[in-house]
Amino acid sequence: MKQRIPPPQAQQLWQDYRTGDIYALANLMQAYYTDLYNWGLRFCDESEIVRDCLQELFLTLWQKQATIGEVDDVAAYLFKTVKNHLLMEFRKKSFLHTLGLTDEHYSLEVEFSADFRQVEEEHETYRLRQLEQLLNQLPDRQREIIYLRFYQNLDFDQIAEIMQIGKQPVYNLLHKAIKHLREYALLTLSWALLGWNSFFAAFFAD
Amino acid sequence: MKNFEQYNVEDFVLNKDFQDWVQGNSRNGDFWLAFVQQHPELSETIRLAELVIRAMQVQPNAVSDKIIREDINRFMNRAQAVSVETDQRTHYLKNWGNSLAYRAAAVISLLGLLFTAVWFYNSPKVANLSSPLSSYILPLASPAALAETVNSTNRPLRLVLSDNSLVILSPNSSLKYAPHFTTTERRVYLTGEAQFNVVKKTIPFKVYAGGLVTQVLGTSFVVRAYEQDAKATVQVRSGRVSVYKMNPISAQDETVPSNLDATAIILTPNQMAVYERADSRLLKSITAEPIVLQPEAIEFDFTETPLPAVLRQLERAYGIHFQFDEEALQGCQITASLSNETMYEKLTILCKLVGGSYEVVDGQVIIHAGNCR
Repeated sequence: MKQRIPPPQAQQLWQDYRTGDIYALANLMQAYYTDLYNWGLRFCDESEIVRDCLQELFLTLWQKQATIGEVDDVAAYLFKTVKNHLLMEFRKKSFLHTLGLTDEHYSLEVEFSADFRQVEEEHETYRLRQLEQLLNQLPDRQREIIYLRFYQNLDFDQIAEIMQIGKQPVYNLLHKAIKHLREYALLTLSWALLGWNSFFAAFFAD
Repeated sequence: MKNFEQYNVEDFVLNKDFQDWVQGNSRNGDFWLAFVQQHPELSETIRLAELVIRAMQVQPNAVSDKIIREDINRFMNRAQAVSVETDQRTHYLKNWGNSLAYRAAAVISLLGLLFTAVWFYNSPKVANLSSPLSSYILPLASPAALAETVNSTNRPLRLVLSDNSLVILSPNSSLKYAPHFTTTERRVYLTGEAQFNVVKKTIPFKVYAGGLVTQVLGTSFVVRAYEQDAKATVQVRSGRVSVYKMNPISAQDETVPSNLDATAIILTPNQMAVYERADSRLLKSITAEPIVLQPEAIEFDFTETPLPAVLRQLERAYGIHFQFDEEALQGCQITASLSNETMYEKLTILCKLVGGSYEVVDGQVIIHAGNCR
């Protein structure tokens, strides 16, 4: 169950931090730690590196305390900054940097792992596994948006800021992904009804 | 704008309310359950939408409270500036410690009440005297550290802070404070109990105690936050204070209800805030011994006075809001002399006279009518 601090409280803590209240910053760190840690792991699967990155992030924020401005949304800002930091680290170390590739090219480690509680019927379990598989085959950008929306529970504005694209493109990409899932799922349903279950499963496993 | 009957799978999946319901975060559970029952033709669409949402989960990679605590500690220590100065008169303290008096599973306390606290500032800024942060640093750029006064006697101890505010520290209590308050904030840290008479200034005065922050401009109040108590309280004698919890709601603890009040509560005289540490609840109540705010103006001798008038008099006297059904109580006549009783005693007597009852809810008194006709 994902419960974050309400936006007005987060904004207030941000204001307090800007006036020099380190406890406010520490409060923000505590409130968002688990989510930012999980988010960090999408870009780098080493726990130590992600933790170090969070340290550096908050220390930098503290250093910039007097000069940093307002932010529209504290959560979106933090998520975006974590992503940028980790990608920068990753690029420095990787070959991509020397190739001068832009930040369009990064790989997102998101593996969807369905929530099987409250799903008892076998055909539904089967369906759920299929959806899981389909999700994991989607393009990176779509998976990123799905992760931010359905795992991190962020809204479209926040996602748009984190991904540095417009709100409408976010919506469209998400809509496209879900439509794709729906079409395949219903397709399976009709195959299943025709008794082509196992055939389809094998086909799908490719 | 479609309505729900025309929704397809994508529409349901993209609906935030629906998503919240499937993921168990909803306050509208009843709505969707009813909807599903009323629209059996949509049941397959809805079921598929549910499955899609359930598929979109990720392994949580739980990071334990312990690790979070360690990492935050590490951050605080590194953010800290530097040296320790010792002085004969007051005891300067250095390390920021982490005092976890509460259940670790629930709230992580960031304030080291038992141990020492430090005053942070950013070392690169020390050299730059034109920086706006210089208000944090004493003019000669010596690091501002906190002084501490401990009352280990068994009588109250008076102390005066640099703004002339008076603190009466109860036995077994201690107060940490900056020897000279800054121009942006007057902050103190309390363990135990103290009465504060704060000098009114535009700079807010904040008391950090037991997971609560009490903020005032200038007024008189008592904060009670002993380590071993399950509750911390703030009682207001005069003025207004705002009280809020120091920590945000615990994101990891699933037993914490989602409708926790996340905003500050304002207390007026005779009101009290009670903070239940174990489940991090902040409630408004009435002080144990409400005082009559303007004794000269109030009479407590009643002869065949209707109860509503009596209650209004009490409201004026104590500055506390009373809620009652004016019409229902109009027929209850009171003849009594209540000058010498405490507020609660007065209420008990009145309720007995009319066969009713009262309860204190959220800093107000609610009277339940009896049958006095």
